[in-house]
Amino acid sequence: MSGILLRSLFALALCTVGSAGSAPAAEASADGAAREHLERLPEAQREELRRKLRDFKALRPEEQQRIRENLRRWHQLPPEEQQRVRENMKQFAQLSPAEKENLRRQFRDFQSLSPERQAEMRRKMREYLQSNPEKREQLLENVRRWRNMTEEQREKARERMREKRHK
Amino acid sequence: MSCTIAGELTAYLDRELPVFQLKQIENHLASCRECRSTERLLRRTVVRLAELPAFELSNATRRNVLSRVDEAANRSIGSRLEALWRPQVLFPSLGLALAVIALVISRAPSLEMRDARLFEVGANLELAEDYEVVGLSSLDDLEVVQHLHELEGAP
Repeated sequence: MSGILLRSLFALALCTVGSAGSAPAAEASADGAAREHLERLPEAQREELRRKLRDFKALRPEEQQRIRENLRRWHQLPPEEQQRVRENMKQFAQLSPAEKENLRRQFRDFQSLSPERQAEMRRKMREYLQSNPEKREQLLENVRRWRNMTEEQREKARERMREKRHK
Repeated sequence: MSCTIAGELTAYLDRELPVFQLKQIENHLASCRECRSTERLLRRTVVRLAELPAFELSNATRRNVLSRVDEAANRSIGSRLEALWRPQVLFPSLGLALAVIALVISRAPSLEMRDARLFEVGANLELAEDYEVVGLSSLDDLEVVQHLHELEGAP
């Protein structure tokens, strides 16, 4: 590498470090990059991102930490798993606020099952979807309806399933 | 001495060569006077060296030698470090390192920006991962749900 190039790099480094040498300055620089990126987006999207940032900053520190951990995990998921989660997120976004609340409650119930049973159900469902990928939409719709059913309606469906099995 | 086996004679005397090579050298020695003479000389030298009395270093000599070795080693590390601190090496290396760091800092996307874009994913990842099975509590229910649209259509 020539001496001129080295001197240029050194000069560049000195200039940049002058503005980003300390931690707050580095943050300011990163904020600057984010602001620049933000300015290139349409206004509606900008406002949406600002709102999300405000929501995120308003969360309790432990909740922020959980989200950061989740995001770190998300970036490590294989592409097909990210795709599956994205599709599920789309379904989730279409739910009404009452359905979302119901879903969260039932998620807590699901988490209270033993880890073995959770794992077994995930495995069975995954096997079913892998061998019937075309039924994914229908299945998600069925699950959504199932969540909103009363225990009486569920029992009726179980009974019909038993009859179907015996036919 | 121009024979190619001359360099192997010490190993031959120490019996460090494979058997076929030992045989080769023995055959050669039978016909080459010069190598035979060298072999004898080496053999005599080995025997005489073995006859010498054991030599024990005095403590003073040992200390003297070791301190000189230490001195030499320290001088060598010091001079190597000194070479790294020379401006011709130090400034370009430092400059390059800082430039790389500065480039990484300035090009890295803001973490918060990324958080904002994936805010929903981060907030609901656990739920989204288990979305297909939330609401179900048994493997039987799983089967019912898989066929629910058919069951509801049934009379």
